[in-house]
Amino acid sequence: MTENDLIKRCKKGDREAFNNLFVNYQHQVINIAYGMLSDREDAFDAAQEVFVRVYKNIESFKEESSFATWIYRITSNVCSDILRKRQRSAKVVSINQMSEENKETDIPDTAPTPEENAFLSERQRAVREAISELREEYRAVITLCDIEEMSYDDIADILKIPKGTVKSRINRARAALKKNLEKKRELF
Amino acid sequence: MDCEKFRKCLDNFESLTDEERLSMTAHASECERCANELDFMLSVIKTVKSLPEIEPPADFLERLNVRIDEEERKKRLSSRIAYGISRNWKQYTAAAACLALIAVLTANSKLLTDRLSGTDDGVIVGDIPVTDSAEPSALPLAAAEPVASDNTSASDTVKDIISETGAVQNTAATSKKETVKSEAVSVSAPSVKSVTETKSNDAAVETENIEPQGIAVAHIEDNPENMIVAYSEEPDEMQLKGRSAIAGYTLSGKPVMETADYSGQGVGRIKISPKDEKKAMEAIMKYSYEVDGDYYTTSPDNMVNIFCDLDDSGVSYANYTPEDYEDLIKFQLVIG
Repeated sequence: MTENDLIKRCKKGDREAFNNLFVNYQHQVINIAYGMLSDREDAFDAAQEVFVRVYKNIESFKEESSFATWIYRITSNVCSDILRKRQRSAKVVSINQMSEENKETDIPDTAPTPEENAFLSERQRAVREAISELREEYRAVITLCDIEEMSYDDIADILKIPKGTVKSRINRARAALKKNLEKKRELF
Repeated sequence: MDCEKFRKCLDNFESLTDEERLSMTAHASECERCANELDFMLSVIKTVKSLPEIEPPADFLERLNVRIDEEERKKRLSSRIAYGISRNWKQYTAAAACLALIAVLTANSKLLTDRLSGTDDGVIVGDIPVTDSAEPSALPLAAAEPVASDNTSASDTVKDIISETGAVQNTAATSKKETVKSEAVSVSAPSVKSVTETKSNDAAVETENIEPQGIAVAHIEDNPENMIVAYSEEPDEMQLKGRSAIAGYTLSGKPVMETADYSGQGVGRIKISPKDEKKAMEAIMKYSYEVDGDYYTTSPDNMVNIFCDLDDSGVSYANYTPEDYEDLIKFQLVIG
């Protein structure tokens, strides 16, 4: 059965067709979410939310478009929502604490847990932590380009930005990542 | 290639041509410092690409199906409720009306019982006795609330309500003067600054960029009591009232309307608050190729550079980038 056949059946409420579609995309959705959120549990929750939204909105999907682009766009949007909520929570905490050093524009630190770090080299740990300190726009391009190795066209479609913008944003994201890694430069 | 050019190429690594990469390699072979920078960059990219992936838990699909089942159940329940309401709306409306009546009666029960037993002080408030005479009753209105203190005055008073939390509410000032200029002066919000005009009988005195924790003060000329006017910061109220909403103003002061659908217009937009005008202009002038009145032109790459500079300098902005441009993007800066 082709993907389009599965999609048509999903639109009619066929749960088995939906589960088959899920199996094709779960790995990449979860890892895009992990790349953007830097936290396993958040990534699993985000991926669940993505597939629920896919199920609820499958009727609005136009079959002539790319299903992969559509589902990854939903993934990016769900992760962006989560990152913004984290940022708002951090601002409330900082206002409550009335602390000068908490005045921030960055997303709160969600560095990998000890369990997650167990299988990473020191260099990889440093990079994961540095990614978790990036702004959401930069996390998205780093994840899609460098981690998921998607093409510029796909990234442009997923993030709904012009293709010419993709390269610029990658450049800026890498510059920001390098800046975050300056203090651990000796590892590289 | 010199070190400065090398550093610029490093910042645009993804956009380099093959020739530029070769030039970088050649320079790096001669300059240790630049070579270290290049090695660092390449090492970071390589490490990012090497990050291991994670696997979903074994029960992931099962949990997902449980969640979808729950969503379906909620959907069926809300459909049933909606159906039930649509079938029995008359009964529900009557029940709601009865409940409302009971609530009013309960709230006023003491007043009602006093009246019925005659133990109130007999004051009739705002009541006009009915007579057969064509002339209005001679009885004065006892203990009546003053309706308006200056009904005969040329202008209505402007009322304000300022809550303790600093939240502001919308009020409308009406004036029969031809024009009334008002200038908003911030009290506790130093960023508030605007000049507005009002016309006769139609005052929509607005102040822009009201900080939620601040109070915008409008001192209206010929307002003898010099009342403080405070306004909500919610621009959507304009839309709710069915009028066209102004998104903001260009630098030259032209109003820019909100547009629900920008597609096909070919002009982009960056919207900022007035306090960020200087920083926004720095970023825009740094990366724009052309300035024509209120319009700026730049490349897509430089558009992103503008956004990144705005991010780096802490400016909050909303933007629209058209999809139908050819090589360059034309856009406006909107302050609102």
